Amino acid sequence: MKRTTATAIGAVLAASMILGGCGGSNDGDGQTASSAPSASGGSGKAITLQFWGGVPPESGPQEAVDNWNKLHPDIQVQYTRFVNDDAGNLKLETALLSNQDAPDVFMSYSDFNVTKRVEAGMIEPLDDLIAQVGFDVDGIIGVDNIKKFPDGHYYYLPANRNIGATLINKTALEAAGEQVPEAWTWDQFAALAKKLTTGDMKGTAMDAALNNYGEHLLAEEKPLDSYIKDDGTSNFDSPALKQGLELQKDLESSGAQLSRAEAVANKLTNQDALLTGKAAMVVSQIYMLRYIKDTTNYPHDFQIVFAPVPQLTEGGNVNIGGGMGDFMSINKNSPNKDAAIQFMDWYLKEGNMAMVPGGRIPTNKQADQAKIAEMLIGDAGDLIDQASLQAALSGDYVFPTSYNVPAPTELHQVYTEEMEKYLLGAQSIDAATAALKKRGDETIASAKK
Amino acid sequence: MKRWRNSRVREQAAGYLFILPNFAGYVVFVLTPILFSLYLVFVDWEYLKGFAGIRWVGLDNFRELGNDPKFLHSLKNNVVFTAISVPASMIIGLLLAVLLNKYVYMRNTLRTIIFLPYMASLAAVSVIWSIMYNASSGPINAFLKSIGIAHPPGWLSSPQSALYAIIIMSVWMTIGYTMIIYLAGLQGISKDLYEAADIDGASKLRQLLQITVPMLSPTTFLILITQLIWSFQVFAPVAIMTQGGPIDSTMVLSYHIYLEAFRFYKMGYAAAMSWVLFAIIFVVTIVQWQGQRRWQNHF
Repeated sequence: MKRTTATAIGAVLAASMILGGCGGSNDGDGQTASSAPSASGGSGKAITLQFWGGVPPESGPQEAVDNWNKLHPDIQVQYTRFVNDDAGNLKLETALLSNQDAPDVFMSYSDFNVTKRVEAGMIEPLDDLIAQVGFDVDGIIGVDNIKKFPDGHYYYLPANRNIGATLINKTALEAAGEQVPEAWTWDQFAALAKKLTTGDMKGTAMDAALNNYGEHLLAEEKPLDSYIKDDGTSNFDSPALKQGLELQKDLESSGAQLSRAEAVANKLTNQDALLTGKAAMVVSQIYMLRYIKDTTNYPHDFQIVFAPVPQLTEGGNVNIGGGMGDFMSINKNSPNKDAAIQFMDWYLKEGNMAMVPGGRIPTNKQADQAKIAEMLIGDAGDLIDQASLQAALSGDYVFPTSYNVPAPTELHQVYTEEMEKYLLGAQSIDAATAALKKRGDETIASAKK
Repeated sequence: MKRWRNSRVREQAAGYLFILPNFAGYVVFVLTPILFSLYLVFVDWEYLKGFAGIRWVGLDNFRELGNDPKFLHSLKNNVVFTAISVPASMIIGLLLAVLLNKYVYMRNTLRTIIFLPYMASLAAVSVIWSIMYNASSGPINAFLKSIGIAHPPGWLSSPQSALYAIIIMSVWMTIGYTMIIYLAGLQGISKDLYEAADIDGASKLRQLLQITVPMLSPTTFLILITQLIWSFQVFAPVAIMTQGGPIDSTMVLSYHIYLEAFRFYKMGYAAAMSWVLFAIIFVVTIVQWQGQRRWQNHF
């Protein structure tokens, strides 16, 4: 009984601390966001905009917000970080529903997160606001890079252009006598991974929470809504997915990659695997630069070279992990929409340059690319192979998107479960793909009900 | 007469005032959420639409329980977890208590060492144990290999052993608690009984089984109930160490509830499951209380 009482008291204390924390972080010397009408007038009390994002403040957002606040004493922005996981997204959504200190501007980090928020009516359509500040969507971001929702409106503007790449430990690559691949398939990737496996160093590694080959190959086969076929049924019976599953099993059983089950239990991350020498290469994204430069937490002396993401078929150019990200939206219930769009206008044109050292590339097509490369590398020139990074940055890619998949969270769960059973030997590949297709179709059907 | 009543009312008011801060906290943070969750049992809530997204569905959430293989699977894992961890922790705790009660030097130090894990943060303990359980480079498997076991278990990364790995950690944590309560219980047993048994020539083992264990039965019931409630609610080690995997081998009810609510946003269904969990714990506890009354009447 003692234990339960203690737990209850703990829960109450924790709850009150959370509440206290919210109050504290938002109080801003009593300048609460109640003076909505003065947004464009610029007279009277300063407006406080609440801006929520998933990036830790010290990795760029705080600097961006500070830069804005210096220029605009009448519109002060406060940054709040939410962790981009189940609990963090729930926290953001709960905050969006609340009446007090709700976020005015916020980020969504995946196609399906932004889609479900649009469908639930949490987001303000941006077209009128964009016209009001004269933001040149096509000139700055490009209309092809933004999803127009079925009602014909924009609901977000992307602030970050992700690029997927294979990051390779150059020392290990040279020791194996291999060249940096410039265009390659997954078969060549698997061959190199096996060749790079020596002693304690595996050929490759994978953050089990982020990646798996089945979904990668599926998205390369069908970059648009890879989970579903054109007729709306599950695409889980695709040969590409099967090939990806077999690739993963092959890499695990040949010892070129730590098994998925162990990676989950050990909470292996890409940066941990690559930079502490547990693996010679990882298929990941440009954001890894943030960790490559962080020699305090990841002391290492080898250079990292960048190769493209391996392809399903020769000559493909689908960029797994890449694409538009950091979807900026305005809360439908925000009283400060005019101020919010002004902030977004600035952030998308110049503010997000503060995010570059943290490994996030602005979507602004007019931004100075040479300067971006320079900022990305910072003072870590000896740890980064610059020519191959440039090549990765300037590549011409097809980015996968999936806005039209019903119940993506549930489908991903189905996929993960059947994949685990296959990888741990609890079912054959044919049983896995059959179960995937069947359960995938059932999940889609029950989502449409 | 009136004066007396006045003072009594004032006294009562003062009493209520004293408990008000605590009670207000209880109402806001405990009672209201509990009542609200009871309401959620009967609804389907489209969470992103706020309170407008609530739709009454009657008993549909309970009907869904029957169609959810994971619910039964989690329940089974809960039963296995409880059936092994609670008796193990009680038996080891009792033996340690008996030993530490008299036979050992430095017993205060040892008591502290054994009790320490119980006071440690569950989250920190889970993280450290998952490092120890690391199948390829963890100290546990390194030790097993050094004594000649060629293929030690995969612990958290194997569906066969993951649940047992969590049970072992949980027993390690809770024996400190059972031991301390048993130690307190041992103080209450009269020495005369043991002296009489010695004169009669009873062995130490017989004394343990026929004096110590029966005399400790109220203590045993207390521990049984608290441990049972605690073990049925196991959540943190699963959330931190395995996330229910591999292949759902460590999926327990509370983690299943958590996923349904906070990953899939099925608040109503999750609330229904949490009330089922409550009902199970409640029934088991009532049965135990009844059993205790009957058992204790023997003495």
